[in-house]
This record gives sequence, structure tokens and C-alpha cells, in this order.
Amino acid sequence: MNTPTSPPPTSTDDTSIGQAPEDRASHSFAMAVCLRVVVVVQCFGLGARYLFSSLETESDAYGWLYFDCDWPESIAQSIDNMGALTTLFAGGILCLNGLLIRKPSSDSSWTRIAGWMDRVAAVWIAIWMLLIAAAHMMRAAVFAELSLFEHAVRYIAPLALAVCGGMGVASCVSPARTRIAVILLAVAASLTFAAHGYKAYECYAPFIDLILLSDMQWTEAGTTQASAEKLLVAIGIADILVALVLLVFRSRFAAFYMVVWGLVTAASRMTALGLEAWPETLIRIANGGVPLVILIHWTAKRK
Amino acid sequence: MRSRKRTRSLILGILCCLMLGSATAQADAPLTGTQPAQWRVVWTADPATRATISWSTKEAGSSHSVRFRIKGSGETLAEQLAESGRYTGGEFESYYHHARLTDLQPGTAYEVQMVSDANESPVFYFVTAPGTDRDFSILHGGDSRSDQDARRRINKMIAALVESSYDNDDLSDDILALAHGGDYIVTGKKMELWSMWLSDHELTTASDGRLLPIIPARGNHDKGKPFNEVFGFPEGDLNYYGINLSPQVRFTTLNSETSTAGDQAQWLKAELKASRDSNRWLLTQYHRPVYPAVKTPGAGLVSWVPLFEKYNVDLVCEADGHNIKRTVPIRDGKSDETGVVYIGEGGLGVPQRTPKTDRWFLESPGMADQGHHVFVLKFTKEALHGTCLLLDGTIRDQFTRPVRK
Repeated sequence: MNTPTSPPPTSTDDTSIGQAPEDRASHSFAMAVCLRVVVVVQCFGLGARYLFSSLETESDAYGWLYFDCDWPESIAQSIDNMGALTTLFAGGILCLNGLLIRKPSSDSSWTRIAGWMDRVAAVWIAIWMLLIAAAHMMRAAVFAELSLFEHAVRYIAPLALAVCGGMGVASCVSPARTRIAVILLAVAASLTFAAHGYKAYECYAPFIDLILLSDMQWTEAGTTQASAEKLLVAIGIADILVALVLLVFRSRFAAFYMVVWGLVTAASRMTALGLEAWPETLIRIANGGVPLVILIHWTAKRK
Repeated sequence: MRSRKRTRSLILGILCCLMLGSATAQADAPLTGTQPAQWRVVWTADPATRATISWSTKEAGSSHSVRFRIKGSGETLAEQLAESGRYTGGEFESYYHHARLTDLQPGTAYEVQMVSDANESPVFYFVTAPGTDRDFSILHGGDSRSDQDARRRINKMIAALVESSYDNDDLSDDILALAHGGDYIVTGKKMELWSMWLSDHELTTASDGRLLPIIPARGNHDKGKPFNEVFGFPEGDLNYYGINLSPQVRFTTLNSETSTAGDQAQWLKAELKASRDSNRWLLTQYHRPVYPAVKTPGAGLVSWVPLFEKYNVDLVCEADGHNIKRTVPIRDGKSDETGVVYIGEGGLGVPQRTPKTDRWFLESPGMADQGHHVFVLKFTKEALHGTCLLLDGTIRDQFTRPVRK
């Protein structure tokens, strides 16, 4: 693991041009912290959904193993619970290590172990999130074929955190790693928005309900289903466009739109289905959180 | 004591009919050429006077119709031409035929024979819904998608139940129809799977040729066009509808797989408002549970439940969870004797999940368990009696809902 005592990076990557090492460290640090918070919150949401909320349920991993692979229910259940529990634990490690970021680190064996655990935790979260997305794709739900794209931010965010270099401050300023992490995050955000945009454009029924039920309970504008469908078509086009703009032009405006809209849509689970649906909001935090990380990085870079 | 005797004779009847049924039921007809197969009766509109007689052929053929007349009347057979087309859904080629019979007489047995080109099906019969306020029963179940062996055994059990229900003079146990809560097959776009389900459905035919009408709801696995083609809905139909099973029993089927909150909620409000005062019993069925025993609640919890409670729906039948459940009566999100009871979760041929019995709405006097099952719902003038029957004939649950004052 890199530490503050490590030699400064020598890359000529564009993230380092014209910036003092302290500035680079500062904005990369903010980005890494934001990314870490997003992943931790997401893990907490996953734990709530699959382990400890009042309406906890099983993931698609269970469904795939039990119904599609004909594994015994007890084994499918155990694997599912272990996966969720390990992800929650991994989120806890990231949270704990995150608290240690500001503390001066040393090259002690404890710090090395902590850094190693940090990366393992992040990689595990990425793997489990990817497995759940893949399992969902195997099931026969509507638009299940899009789930690897749709869930991209969920499994690429922890992967980017691992790439970013773990818990140490100095590691976060590694320009090469930062650059790879930001590229990964931008691709993930674009895939997620494009997939959601396509579903919105196709007037995916649960999205219609999110609009109508949120309106019914909060804004009371009397939105009709026809209006909601027209709105969804517009939203879908906008989502696909910003996905392209983010990737091609590295637009901060696109990133900002994604932050706002990603968080709004995550919160819509609660505004539509009630506060009991809070795990659904937390597990989707990366929808807006990942663009926020990108926005922080690009804004800092521009300054 | 009397009820124990009845239960014993019911179980004996089921076992006898299972043995008898397996020998004589005209089921699993091969799907070859234009020989009619995969016969079924579908109720989606006024079942006292209308019914859709549907079947499949392997080849397109050129002429498809149903011959029908009142059973035992000796009248000349009437003929109704069928609407036909190729099922969409993969490479598997087969053709649907739907003959829509209208202006039928209520509570009447009709002989039907499907004819495709020169090929005839055996002569079957079905009975239209009663036009008088009489006692009767229906079956409810869901999820028959991924355990074919269990599905076939359940279908034989259903045929046996139907037969035994007419073996006595008690009208209240006469089974009129099967309400299916959705998830017929794993992948709704694969016609090959639908074809297997349709062939298995033949097993619900009683040994005397009685066809049991089906009241279908769409499940999350039933995505795509084949669902409407299998059950004779118009293309693009959204699959929510209400029918009267008798002048006093309104049965509303909802679609949890499309928007629950928009047009469907508006329709449901009008449907319940118009039905409540003129019906003793008000029931709904749909796929995704709002008070689930294993999953998270569907959007119907917000879209539909306030309407169920406002219009005092008597019983709600759900599926999807792959277990057995009956909730406590619920109103305003808590147990209330005046509230609505939710049953079901599906066991017509799917591996069963372990339910989360610690959820408040499943705690005693509610229940949850697992096992392949079907619910028998008996409507009398005094009460609605529900019985959950397991595949071996064991009674797993019984409940009674009084008539609302």
C-alpha cells in the first residue's frame, strides 16, 4: 500500500499537469472519500434489503441457485445470506478504514494489513454486486437482459475504489490509478443511465408507478398515466443523451444532471412506496453517487 | 364430527379420483398436424353467458370451429368459427384457435367439440356460471412454472377435486372454475414452454370430459405476447377485468405486471364502487403480493390496498412467493377484524420457498407454510369458507370470512 511517505508519483498523466502535488492530493482525496461513502452506503442498503430490514428478502442469487440450478433451498439460502453478510462486513471495513484516512499512516505492518483488507473488501463488494446483477439477468424478469448495464455503477464503484488504491492518502493521488478509476466510473454511469433511459423510453411499468405514486402522495399534481408515459419518454431520451455526452465530451453538466437525477430516482422508491422502502434507496445510491465522484474530480481538475 | 367425516370422504374421493382419473382422463393429446389439442375454456367476460373455447394445433390448417349444444338436449349442433393465428415466441411452431361463445344460458352444461379441418377433438362439456344466487366453490392457485412433475400431479388432483365435488347433492362444494394467479411457465416468451403447460393443463379435464374454466392473471414470468394468445385476450390487452361468478360474487383480476397506479387504479376504483353494493362477495386476484410472505411488497400496496379497504373487498388472492400464506385481516397497515385477508402465494407446480413467518401480518391467527397446494373457496349465503389443500390431499389451512354487514 502507498503511504504519505512514499515517493510522489512521476506520471505525466493529464490529471497531474499544472497541479501542485498538494492540490492533486486534495481533490483526489475528496473524490476517494466520496466514492468510499457511496460504496459503504450501498453495502448498508444491500444488507438492509437482504438481511435486516423488516421486509428483508432474498436476492436473485438465491432465486437463480434454487429455481434455475435446482440447488437445495438451504444451500441457496446460506450462500445468499453469506454473500449479503460478507458484503455488509466488507462495507464495514471500508467505513472503518475510511475513518483512518485522515490519521497519519505509517509503513507499519498493521497499516499494510488494513490496506490489503481494504482492497479485498472493495473487490468482494464488486464481485457480489456483479453476481447479483448476473443472477438477475438469468431470471426471466422484464428487461432482465439489461441488468448488467443497469447495475454497472453498483459493481464498478467498489472496483474503482480498489483501483484507486485503498485507504492511504498518497495512494489516492496516483494519477494513473485515479485516471483509470474515473474512466471506469464514467463508463459505469453511462451504462447505468443508458439502460435506465431505454427502460424509461419504453415506459417500463414500475417507472410509471414511481411517478404516479410519488405525485399521489407528495405533489398532488394529478398526473395521469398518459402524462407520466410522455414524461418517461422525455426522461429516457435525456438519460441516453447525458450518458453519451458524459462519455464523449466529459461534460460536467452531464455529470451534474446525473447526480441530481440519480439521487432523485433513488429517493423515488421512498416517495412512491413509503419510507419502509429505504433499503431500495440506499442500494441505488451509486446512481447519483458515482456521477458525483466524477463531478468532484472533473471540477477539481478544472480549477 | 360431521366435518371430520366430510373431510375424510373428500380425501378418499380425491385419492379414488386420482387413480380413476389417471386411467381415463383424455389428457396430453399429441400436438400433431391439425388435430385439436391443448383444450381449455377461458372466462374473462360474463361467464354466465359467454366463454372462450380455445385449443392448439401443430399446423395452421384452414378451417377451425367449435360445435356446441346444451348437453343432453339432442339439439342440432351449433357451430362457432374460431379466430386463429400462430403463437409468437421462438422457433416453436403451433397455432391457437379461440371460439368465442356468446348468448349462452346461465348455469347450463354445454357440449363442445373442437374441429380443425377434418380433425375432431373428443366431445367435452363445460358449465356456464350460475344466473341464480346459489352456493358454489372455485379453486385458486398460482405459479405452475418450473416443476412439471408437481404441476401435472396438481392438475390431476384438480380434476379429481372437480369430479368429487359433483358426487353429492351439496351445491356449495361444486367447483366452477380455476383462478390462476400467474407465472404459468418460466419464460413467457418461449412458446415451447407454453406448449408444455397447455398440454399439462389438459389434465384438469375430468374423466367425464368436463372442462374446468380458467380465470387467468398475468405473472412476472408471463411477459411477452404469448400470454394474450394463449388465453384469447386481444393483442395488447392489459389483462385486468372483472366477472360475476354468480349474481352475488364479483371476481376481479388485476395485472401487477403493468402500471398499478394509473389507469388500472382508476378502473379498479370504478369497478369496486360499482360492484360493492350489488355483490355479497368481492374478491380480487393478481400476481405480485402486497403483503408478501417472502418478498418485498408490490406497488399495489400503495395503489390498490386503500381501494380494497375502502370498498371492503372480502378476500384477495395473490401468488408469486412460492409458499402458502393467509394474512390476518388488515386495515390501515395493522391487524383489524374488519380488514382485508390476503391468501395464496402460489404452489401449482413450483419449488416452494420457506416463508418468513415472523412478519406481523402472518402471525397467528394468520399463517404461512410451504407445499404444493390449491385453495378451495366456497361461497355460501352466510360465509366464505377457504381450504388450502396440499398435493397429498391434506388440509393445511381453513378459514372463514363472514358476510360483511
